[in-house]
Amino acid sequence: MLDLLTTLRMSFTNLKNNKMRTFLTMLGVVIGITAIISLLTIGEGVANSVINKISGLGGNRLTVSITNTATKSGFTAEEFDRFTSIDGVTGISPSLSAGKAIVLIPNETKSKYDEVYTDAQRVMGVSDDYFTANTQNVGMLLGRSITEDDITHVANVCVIGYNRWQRLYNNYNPVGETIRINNVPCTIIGVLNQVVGLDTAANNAILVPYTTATRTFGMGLPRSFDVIFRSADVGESVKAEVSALCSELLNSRGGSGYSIVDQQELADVVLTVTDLVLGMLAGIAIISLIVGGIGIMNMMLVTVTERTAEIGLRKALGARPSVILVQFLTEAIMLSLAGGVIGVLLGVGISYIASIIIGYTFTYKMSTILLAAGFSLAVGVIFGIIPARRAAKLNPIDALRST
Amino acid sequence: MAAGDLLLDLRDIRKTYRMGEVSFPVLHGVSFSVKEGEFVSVLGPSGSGKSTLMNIIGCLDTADSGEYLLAGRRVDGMSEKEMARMRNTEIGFVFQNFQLLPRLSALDNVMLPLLYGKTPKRERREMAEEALRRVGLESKMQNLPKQLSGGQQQRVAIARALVTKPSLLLCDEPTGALDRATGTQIMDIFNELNAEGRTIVMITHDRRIASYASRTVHIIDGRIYTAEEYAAKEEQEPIPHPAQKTEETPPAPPADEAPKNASGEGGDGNA
Repeated sequence: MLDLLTTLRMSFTNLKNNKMRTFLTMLGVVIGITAIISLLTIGEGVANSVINKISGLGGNRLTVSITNTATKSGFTAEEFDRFTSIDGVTGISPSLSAGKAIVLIPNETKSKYDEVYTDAQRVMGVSDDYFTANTQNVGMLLGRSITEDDITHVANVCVIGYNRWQRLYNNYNPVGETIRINNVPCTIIGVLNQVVGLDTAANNAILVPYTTATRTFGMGLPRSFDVIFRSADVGESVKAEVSALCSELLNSRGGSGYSIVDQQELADVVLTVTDLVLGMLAGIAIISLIVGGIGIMNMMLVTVTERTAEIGLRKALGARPSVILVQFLTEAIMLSLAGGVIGVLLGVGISYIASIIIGYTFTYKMSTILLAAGFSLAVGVIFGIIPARRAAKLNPIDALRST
Repeated sequence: MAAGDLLLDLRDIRKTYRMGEVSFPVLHGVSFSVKEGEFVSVLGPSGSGKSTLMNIIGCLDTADSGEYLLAGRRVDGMSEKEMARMRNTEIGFVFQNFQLLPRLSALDNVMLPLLYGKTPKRERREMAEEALRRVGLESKMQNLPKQLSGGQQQRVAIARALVTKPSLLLCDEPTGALDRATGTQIMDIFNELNAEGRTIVMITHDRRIASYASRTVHIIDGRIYTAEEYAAKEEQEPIPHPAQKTEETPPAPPADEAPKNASGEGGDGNA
């Protein structure tokens, strides 16, 4: 057996001598591996990002909405207390977002309401638990959040979401200022940090105690709320009890239409779809890799035919069939591995660019890269073995005569 | 092995090529032997079977029947791998059309057989350089074949044949692709090599080239004849081509009836 270095150098020289052909043949594998790497890496990145958003949303949260339009009224504070007392429930976060209210903001220099920012703003009625629910548990940028006290006292206070604050105040600290919501003066008590995740409604809203929203702004009783429970393992029992209580409360007022959305279920559906799409795309990528492999086999068969005389001579000079086999196999593997390496680099590059464009955190797994390298190696071996065997089996007499 | 010992011994070698239904008997029981240090030419017209004989001598092909000893080893019955080893260590080939790899330098071409042997890397270069010096090409070592004349290319090929220090130099029409003057130079090299003690077997159809050898084996239609018989056969134009015969191989003449040497040296070889 020849030493490895000599074999590698010999194969490299042969490939180098046919640059255009080598490049075109390699292209098939490059495209295949690039497709596999970028699809898997982008897919993983997107999936990770979805998982992060879901866990931001809270795997320990149910969203309950009254869907029956015949029942005009939402739940009262007393009724919410009954939900809170369900075993495992750690908080109830009603949300009231009855459209938009006119908000008047004093001009900071003139302190008058006649020169004001008068835009229809999204106002949300929330509870103190809203600020400890996973998504919004980001802490206060400025001031304080709405407390249980504010709820019970129906306080005229508000917290401004991060994006809204930037638009209205341009990074100026508004805590302590008074604004008018539907002409009712409200004191700004805080600014919420930016919320990331799927449910980012708070960023663009002005948050007030839900009791204030109901009584002072006439936004009605909350018809939708989040139930926050201790951990995922009590999810099923909490869901059953919440459902039973909803039925009981709504039946008593002549309608039972409500829906309970389990965020984890939603997340699972999203992930299943992502996996399915990724699987299909990876399948197509593998097909293109196989096509690339056939390209290699085709080129190697042509090479063997072209180099029949050379093979014959090498055999006449004492090269054993196994040496010839290894030489041609090495060439095929080198070709596909080089294609694989270029494909990995391109694939990682493409998914890096994609992460910037789509906007998720760029990550790559070593396992994906090793998988791709393994694939390209396998392609080289599988599609290189037939031409290599043909070369090894060439009869030196026929081969020498072909010149 | 000392000079005078048998290097090559063929006994009743037969070979028939088959293409589907049709058979082409090529060798009808060829027997001859070559001593250590001899320079023997095998002379025959095209279609005489001399190329097949050379392939068998060169361990490139196997006979259908008969015994073949090379350097004391039975070649018939050897595996492909063993035959490759024999080609590598015992035989140096010189072909009509040089058979140099066009993208390799003269030096790399000469190093090629060493690559397939067990020669350590460091020695390969020295041995190849020495072989190239032997044929007077020390100044052309880095040249590619296309940068060399036909005669120089054939000298590279001779260096390649010599580099493994084989026991037999096997030449197939070594001057066939060269002009007369260059051919003569090449033959002079063979004569020198033979004078140094190298055993040479040369296959040719050219009587003039054959005469450089110390002994000539005449072959027509797969049988060995004496020089006189060969001359007589040559006059019966055309020399029949051995084709389209049935599978029935004509009985070969007994070994003794196939006289061998024509150039006057003592009858050796067949038992």
